[in-house]
Amino acid sequence: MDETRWSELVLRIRAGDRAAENELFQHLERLLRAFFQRRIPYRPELVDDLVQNTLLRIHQGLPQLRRPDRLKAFVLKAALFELHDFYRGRYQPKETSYDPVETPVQGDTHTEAAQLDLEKAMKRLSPHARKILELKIYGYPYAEIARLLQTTEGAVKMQVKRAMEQMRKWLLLWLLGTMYVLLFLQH
Amino acid sequence: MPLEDLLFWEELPEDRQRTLREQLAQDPEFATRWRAWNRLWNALYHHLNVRSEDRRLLILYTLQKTGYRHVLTPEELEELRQHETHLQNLSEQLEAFPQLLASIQRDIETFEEVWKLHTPTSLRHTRRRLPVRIWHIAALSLIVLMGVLMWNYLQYRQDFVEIVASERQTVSLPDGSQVILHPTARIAYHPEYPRRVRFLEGKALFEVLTRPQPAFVVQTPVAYVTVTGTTFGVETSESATRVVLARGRVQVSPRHKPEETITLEPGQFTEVVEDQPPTPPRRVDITRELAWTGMLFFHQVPLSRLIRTLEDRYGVRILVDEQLAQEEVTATLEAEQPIEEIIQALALTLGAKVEQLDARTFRLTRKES
Repeated sequence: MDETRWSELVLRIRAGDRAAENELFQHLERLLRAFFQRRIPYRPELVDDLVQNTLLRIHQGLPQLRRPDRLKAFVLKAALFELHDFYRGRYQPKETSYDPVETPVQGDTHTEAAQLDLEKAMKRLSPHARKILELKIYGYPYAEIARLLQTTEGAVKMQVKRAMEQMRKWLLLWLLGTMYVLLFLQH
Repeated sequence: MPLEDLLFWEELPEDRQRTLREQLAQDPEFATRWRAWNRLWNALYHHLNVRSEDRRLLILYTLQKTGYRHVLTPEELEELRQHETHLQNLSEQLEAFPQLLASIQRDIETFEEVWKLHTPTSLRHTRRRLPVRIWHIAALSLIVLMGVLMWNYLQYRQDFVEIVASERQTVSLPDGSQVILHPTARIAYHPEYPRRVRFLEGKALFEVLTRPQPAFVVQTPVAYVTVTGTTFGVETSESATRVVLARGRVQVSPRHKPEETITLEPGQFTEVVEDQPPTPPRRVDITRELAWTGMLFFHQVPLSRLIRTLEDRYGVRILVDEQLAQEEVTATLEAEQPIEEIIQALALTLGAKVEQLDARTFRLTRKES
C-alpha cells in the first residue's frame, strides 16, 4: 500500500466512512500485534494492552494528522512511544509497597549530600557496570540488556548484583565516616 | 535476605513472590532490610532522573539521527532543537547512551519489517471483480500450487541447522570451514549446501577452506559475501552488514542488487546498509576490529606495533633492535597461544634469533649472515 493509498484511506475516514475506518484499524491491529510480539516476546500477556493503547493513540491523533500521507510515520511514533511507556513501567502491576519493580514516585526527598554520595559511588563503578545499571533503570529487561551489550543474561545479572553490593558498601562506609567526624567534632 | 530476590523480582515464580510477601508482612527485620535495598534502587532511579520527557526526546533524537528526520513534524524538530543542550548532557552523563539509541533503532527496524510484511499491495475496494467461474479455477490451482510449494519448503526447512551461540563458540561446517560465533550470534545452513551459510544476526569470524568450486557464500539479511578461501569477520543486523577481511579475498554485494559488487583486500572494511550499495573499501585496524575473537590479526604492520600488543596482552617485555622493529609483518595469533611459541614463530619468519633474558623478558636480534 503506497502513500497515496494511505492518504485516500485517511481522507475517507475523515469523511465519515466507517468501512474505511474498520479496514484501517483491522490492518493496524495485525501490524502492531506483530511488532509488539517481536519486541517483547517475554511478555505475551501484555501484547493485547499495548496494541489497544497504541490504536487509541492513533484514533485520538488521526483528526490532527495534517498530512494524511504521513500515516506510517504517525503509526511508527505511536508504537515507539507506547513501547517505551512499557519500559517505563506503565504496564507493571502495583500490588504491594514491597514490590521492588514498582516505579519510584517522582518527588521523593533525597538530600543533596546523599545524591553526591550516590554520584561518587556510581563513578567508582566500572563503565560496564554503570551501563548495565542505567539500562535497567531505564526499564530494559535483563534479556534485552544482554542483547544490547552482546553478553549473556547471567553475566548481566551478576554485574548488577556486584554493583549494588559494592555501592551499598561504599555508601555505608561514607556514612560511618561522616558520623565519626561528627562525633569527633562534638567531643 | 538474598539480594537476587529483590533485583530479579520480576522473574521470580509467583509462589516465590507470594512466600516473600508473607515473610515481609510477618518479619519486621526482614522488611527493614528489604526496604534498605529498595531505597538504594529508588535513589539510583532518582539520581539518573529518568523523566518520561527524556524517553520521548530520545525516540525523536534517534529518528532524526538514523535517517528518519522526514517522519518528524516541524514541532518535533523544534522540540529537539530546544533540548539540544539537554540531549548533549544526557549523551555525556549516560554511559549507556549509545545502547539506548541502538535499542530504539532496533525498534524502528522491527517496525519497518512488520510494516513490509503486513501491508497489502492493494486495497480491497480497488480490485476488479472476476467472473465466479474463473475465481474457482484460479483458487483451486493456487491451493494445489501452494500445497506443493509448502511441502517442499517444509522439507527444506526441516533439514536446516540453526545455531544460536550462548557464549563464544566455534562451529565446524560440513565442508571443513570454521566459524567463531560471538555470544548471541545466529547462523543457519543446510547440510546439502554446506558452502552457503545464512548469517542472521550478530558477529562471527569465518575461516573458509580454499576450494575452487563452489564458492563459499555467506548470506546476511542485506548482503552476500562470496569467498574462495579466506578469513573474515562479519557483523550483521537485520538492516546492515559490516565485513572486515583479515586474509585472502572476498566479494561483497547487496542482496537487492547483486551486480553492485566490491572486492576487499586484507585489512579492508566495507558496510552494506539496506537498499544501499556497499561502501567503498577502506583500511581499518583489524587487530581492534576482530579483537572479540580472542585471536590477534595483523596485516602489514611494523613489528614494533605487534610487539606492543604482545607486551600488553602477555605482560612481558620484548626487546628488538631498531631496524628489526620497522619490518612489516602479517600474522594471525591464536587465542591462548603461549608467548614463547609466538616469539619463536616470529623469529623464524624474520630470520632473527631469540634470547630469553629472564622469565618475562625476551630479546629478538637479527641473525648475522
